[in-house]
Amino acid sequence: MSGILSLIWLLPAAGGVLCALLPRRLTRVAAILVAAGELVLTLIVAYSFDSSHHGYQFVEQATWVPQFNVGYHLGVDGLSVWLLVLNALIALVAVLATPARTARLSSFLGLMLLMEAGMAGVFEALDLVLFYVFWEGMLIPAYFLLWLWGEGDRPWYAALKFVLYTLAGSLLMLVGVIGEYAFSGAHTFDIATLAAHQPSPAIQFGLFFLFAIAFVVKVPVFPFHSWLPDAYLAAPTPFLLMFAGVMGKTGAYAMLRILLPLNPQPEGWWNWNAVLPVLAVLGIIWGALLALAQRDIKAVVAYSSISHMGFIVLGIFAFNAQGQQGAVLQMLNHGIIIPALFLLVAGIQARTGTRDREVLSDLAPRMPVMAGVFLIVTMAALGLPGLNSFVGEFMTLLGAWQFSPWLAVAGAIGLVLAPVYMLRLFQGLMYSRTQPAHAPEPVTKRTDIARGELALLAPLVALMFLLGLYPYLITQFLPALGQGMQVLGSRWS
Amino acid sequence: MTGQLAAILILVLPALGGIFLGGFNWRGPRLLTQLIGPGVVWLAFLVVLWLFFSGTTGDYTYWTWIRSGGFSVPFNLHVDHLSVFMCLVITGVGGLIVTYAVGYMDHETDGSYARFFCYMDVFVLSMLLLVLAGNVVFLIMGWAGVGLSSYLLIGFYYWRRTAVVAARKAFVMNVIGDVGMILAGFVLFVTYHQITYSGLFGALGKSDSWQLELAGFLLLVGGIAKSAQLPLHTWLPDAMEGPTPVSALIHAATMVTAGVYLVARFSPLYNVATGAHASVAIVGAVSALFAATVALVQTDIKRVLAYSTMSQIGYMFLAVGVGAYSAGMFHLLSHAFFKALLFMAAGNVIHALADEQDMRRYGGLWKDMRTTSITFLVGSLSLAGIIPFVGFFSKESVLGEAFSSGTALGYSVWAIGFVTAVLTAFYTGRMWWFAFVRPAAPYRPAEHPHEAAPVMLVPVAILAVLATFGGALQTSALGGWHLVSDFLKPVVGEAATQTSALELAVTTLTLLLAIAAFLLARQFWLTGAWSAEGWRRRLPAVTALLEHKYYFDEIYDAVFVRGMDTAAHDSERFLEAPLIDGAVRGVGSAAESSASGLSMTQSGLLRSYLLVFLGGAVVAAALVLYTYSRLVG
Repeated sequence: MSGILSLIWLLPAAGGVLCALLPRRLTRVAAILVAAGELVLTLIVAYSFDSSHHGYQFVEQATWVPQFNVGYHLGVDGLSVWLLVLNALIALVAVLATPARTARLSSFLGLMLLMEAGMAGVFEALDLVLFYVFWEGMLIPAYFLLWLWGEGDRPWYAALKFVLYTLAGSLLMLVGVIGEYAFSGAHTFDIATLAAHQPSPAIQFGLFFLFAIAFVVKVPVFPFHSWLPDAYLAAPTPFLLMFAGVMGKTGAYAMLRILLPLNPQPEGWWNWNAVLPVLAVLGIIWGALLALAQRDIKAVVAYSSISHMGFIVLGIFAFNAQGQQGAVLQMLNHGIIIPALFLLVAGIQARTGTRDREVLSDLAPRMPVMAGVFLIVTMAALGLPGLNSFVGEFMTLLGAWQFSPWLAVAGAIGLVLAPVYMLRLFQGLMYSRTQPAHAPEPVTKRTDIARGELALLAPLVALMFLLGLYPYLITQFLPALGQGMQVLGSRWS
Repeated sequence: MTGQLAAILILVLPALGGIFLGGFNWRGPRLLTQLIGPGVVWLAFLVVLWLFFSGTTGDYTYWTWIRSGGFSVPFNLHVDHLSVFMCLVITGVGGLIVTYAVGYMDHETDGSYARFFCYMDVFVLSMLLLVLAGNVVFLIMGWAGVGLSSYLLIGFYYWRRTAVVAARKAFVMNVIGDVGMILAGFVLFVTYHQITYSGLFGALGKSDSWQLELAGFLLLVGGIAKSAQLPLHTWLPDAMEGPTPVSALIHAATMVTAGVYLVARFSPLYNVATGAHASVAIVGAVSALFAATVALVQTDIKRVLAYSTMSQIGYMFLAVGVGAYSAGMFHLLSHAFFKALLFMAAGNVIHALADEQDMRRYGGLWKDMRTTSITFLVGSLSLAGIIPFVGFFSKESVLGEAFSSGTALGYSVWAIGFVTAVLTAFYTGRMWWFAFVRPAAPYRPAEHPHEAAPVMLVPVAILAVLATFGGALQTSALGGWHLVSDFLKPVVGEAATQTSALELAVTTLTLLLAIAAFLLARQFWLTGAWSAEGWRRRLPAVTALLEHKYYFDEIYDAVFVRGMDTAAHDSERFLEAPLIDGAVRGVGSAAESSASGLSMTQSGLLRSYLLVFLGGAVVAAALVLYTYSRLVG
């Protein structure tokens, strides 16, 4: 099965170019076929993945720029295999959720598939230069999608902010990539080799900073999150599913794949490994607090996302199996829950014409099925034990507790705030704000969720239950790690 | 049938019921709902009966939930006498209440009807998971599942704003408890590297440590929140917004007693962690007294019952807190009988009086609703602790065990429990004489209230029989049988049951004072020989304090609810917008003004940024490489 990893990024890349060239009436079918094919490919990889095998699997290696030892090196391990599947799943949902009346549909779908290809490449690349190329390859379509199809009165502003932030991060990362080559003494960009040749802690301190800026902006980690509310509010829904559901995870993934193995001891004036978890906890509380203050329901979900991503970073910097496996679970969980929430928000906006919490109320009698699905997703999002998000939050906090109990206790404040903002959102939207003496007459005119929307949400909801009751499905793959990966249970078990 | 199959079947049955009722999108035919809703609970009851009579116990593992490093959690069910005891209460009393609801919810539309029974089945499922779970993680899942069903059922009448707000309040306060449980799980796992009960209790050892105390306190936080003990109790009175069968099942008979089960389940821990154990007793005693005083002045019949529930659970906490686990569990059983009975009898009245819950608009019920009144009287006498009803025996075994424990703690909590017992008899008497016996209030909503339908009367009557004769299970307060203690002995160990003469004397005194208080209430509320108004005028500060329930709601609202809102909005206004976002905007607008100086169009702006930054990246890369080659070369 060699070559399947190349196929996984080439298929959507080529499909994207093809879609952009196809006429409007064919492009949607083509995009759906490409996205479905991609999902099948990633599932084949996950199915044939050998969880007892240590080291990268399905490896492809070739020389690319011999002068600088740049290699074309792809591979997956337990960390990346499910993220590839998530990427393909959410991309398929996003393509299906794209309305046929979208302006410049061919270019839109083309860019979406290119973004999918970029993210697939990020999850597969084992060479820093290749990783950087894929990283930019996912960002550039995202800029254009946000800029040209953005909603609201000034999408260019949101796009600009996103560009400013992420390009600053990319620039520093590029310097970091070159720095790794120079200072590790290995004269290679191969991630596994670099992990075996670590520079001195002082150098690591600097390199860590260069990489971390790029990754914390992408996640985002407090206080580098201010691009996120603007970008999420402006983003068109299909793009937002991939943007919020998958792209944020590339930052967290890169922390596990690159940041920690290459710079495990970033100690100079201070130790970065002690700074990041504090920022993560601040983000958990900050996102939750600001979610309480929002009127726009999309903004509530956007800020809740900042809070949830904080758990992921907290787990990563707990440096133990529970925390980091929990972080990986939480990446997948959040990647399932946030697209579902944004689909529901879009459905409500489409039916009522507004996203203002002060205006919306009493929707449940008019859209009972929507209310039911919204309730399940709300419960998953606020971390109800039994549904998927609980597993990730529990594991990351358990990891953090072993690292520093106070951080875990502070993070647990996020668990208390989550039901406050999520239930206030849900109840405010769905229920009445008056106090009539008798039950109102049943509503005859319903504007409930359409079958198509339900079909998009159904797999996501099913996964919320499955991963809540059987998370071992995912975590049994996690100890099967690539060379040089020292965390996630192999060294720390 | 094997134990492995039976244990999972107990969970699968209500789960199937819930899925079936919910899966039809609330559109299943009514008859089917009536059959399936209570039917699955009764089927589960049969399976529990099989477990009970076959004496099956064991620890059954079904699948690996997670394994991560040394942290391995199976999905396992723990069937022992304690969990079977709880399952009997949940499915037995639960079955009666869900059957009762077939009649009580009759006014609802088909959709609401199915929704109600779906939620009830989900509740039964979660509660059974709570008691059957064999490890801390699945305990937390059941714990949160009952919180979810409680939320759904309190907010069942979602068109009422008060119900919606009460539901959210209950959910959030219970999440505080959940977090306590989660942190307790962390402490236990990190200290003992065990998460299943069997592993954990084997590893605990016999010497106290700060980890054990901490775990005990954190578990207690969960127990307090779920069982509405001080200071996390304010959600329970508001939870009376839910339909009355919900109050009977969830907020009286089963869910709110989960905290008592928790302490009994973790008895190996609490037996060692003496500080945490003592605090269980203290919290229980103080809550019992607190709630009884508030119940003295409430006018809403369901709120009186709610505070009385809090008070009675206080007794159970008191019992398990002094190590009298089986006395606490017996009071749990007894309370499930008589409090479910009281709620359902009150439900009959509420049903007949057009949903009126204010006792000031009641009266004349002894004449118009004789059967219901008799059952309510049985419940009242049981609650007041009057012989020979079940409440007498269970309350006396609680107080007797506390008294005869011989410690300072035992005597103090006994004294509080003793005062509470008298107060209980008084406020129960007030309910009885004022709401039932007094002549009909002139503005009573229904002139000729109708007695309830048989489907509602029969479960109430069965509970009345149980509340009358249930005491025979354990008459150790007077010396005699102790079937409950014997049954639970393998799990919680043997409590001292030697009844002394002094204890008997104290028991008699309590009984006599309770009877006196019950009759005294008649003088206040029926004959008017003494005036309650007079006391009200003489002690305005005390009356105000009690009527405002010690101002807990007001304080929480001012500090937490409004405090959090202010914090949220101020964070946005003074930190997020000007500082965190402002810093970026500052850079952006500086760049923008320079760009407009170069007369670039708006759409060109983005492209120019891209060029500037990519160019910058290339230049920086070249620079670093150049420097590097100079250094090396």
